[in-house]
Amino acid sequence: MKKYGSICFFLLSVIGFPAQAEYYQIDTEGSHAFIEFRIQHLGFSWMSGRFNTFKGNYSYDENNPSTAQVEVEIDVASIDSNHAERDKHLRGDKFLDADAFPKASFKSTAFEQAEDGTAVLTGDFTLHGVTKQIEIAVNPVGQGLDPWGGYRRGFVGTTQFTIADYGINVAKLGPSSQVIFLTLSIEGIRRSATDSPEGEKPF
Amino acid sequence: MRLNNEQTRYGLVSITLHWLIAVLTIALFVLGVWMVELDYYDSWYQQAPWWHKGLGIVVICLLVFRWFWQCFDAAPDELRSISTWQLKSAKIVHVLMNASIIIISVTGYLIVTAKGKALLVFDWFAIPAMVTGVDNLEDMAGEVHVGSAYLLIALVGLHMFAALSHHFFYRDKTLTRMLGFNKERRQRSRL
Repeated sequence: MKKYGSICFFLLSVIGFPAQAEYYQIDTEGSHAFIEFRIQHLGFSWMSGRFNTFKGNYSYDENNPSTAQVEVEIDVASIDSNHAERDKHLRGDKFLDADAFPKASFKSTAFEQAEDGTAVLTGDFTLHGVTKQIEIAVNPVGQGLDPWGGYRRGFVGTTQFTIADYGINVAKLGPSSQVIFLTLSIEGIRRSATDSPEGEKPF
Repeated sequence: MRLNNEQTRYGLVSITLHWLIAVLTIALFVLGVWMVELDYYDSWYQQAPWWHKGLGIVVICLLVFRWFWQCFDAAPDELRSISTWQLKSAKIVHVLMNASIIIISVTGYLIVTAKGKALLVFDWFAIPAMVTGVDNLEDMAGEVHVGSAYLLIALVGLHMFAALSHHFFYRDKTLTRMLGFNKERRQRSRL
């Protein structure tokens, strides 16, 4: 019997226990996720802002992190630099042209996690109608049960890109303001494939 | 020239208000169209909107004062030579010009204050934000602001065309009495 037991256990560990990818929905509803950007102003200081509206989800498997997938969609018009007149300019056709390109998006293609837990997330980033590959340096922040019966997992990612690569001419802003730096603070709430709000797999 | 209007001519206050608002309105339009194309490094990039905002508030204040003034200072009699349809269409254009100035002022204020910043009128005083928290309010206000500014300039063109045609074609006193010329013009009425 002991033999069968161990065989059963072995089988279970292969079929039943195999560490499964966990699906997470980014907690934009509770606003525990932020897409913040920084860009230099005239080379004298940093200006920061964020995108207020976006949604996304990711999958993550602790035992097989390289299968992780991330998908985020950003409402470009929700840009907020705490200055109405500037936000109006940024949405306008000289910059983001939010009317013509209302959505920006990120879809991962690879996730490489190092032994210390940090990772590099690679994916296709679409902005202003242009899609380019970017790499995001990812640091895990923490995970576990929240006080309300859910399970959460959070990361912080940083990346940067040259704005002109996406067909947005910012030459007039001066040489110090050509590169934008992004900080992505992401908290996901774990969903099972069936209880996700859409009732289907996020991917 | 008297301060008040008389039965046949405008007084100094009406004339001054009319031309002050006229000049400032056209100047604001030109300034507005010019300033939105300025380069970030242009020395006028900050200064032009500063003037535009300040002068804009001056115009709406003048306009409101003008309405009050008109309540107590009746306009001169209409010229008898002018046909009814012209008088009526003139009225409509006047109302529309007033309405567009209000809309332009309100939307201009909303662009600036949509995210809680106050509107600075020169360095005299600041008008605080009253409507905030509406998504993309500054964009919607901006579109209405530009649209009604072009409408207003079209109406101004119509108004100017009417005034000039009364002066050169109908040869009546429509324009001269708003310019404050007292001398009776020799009239050649066509009616």
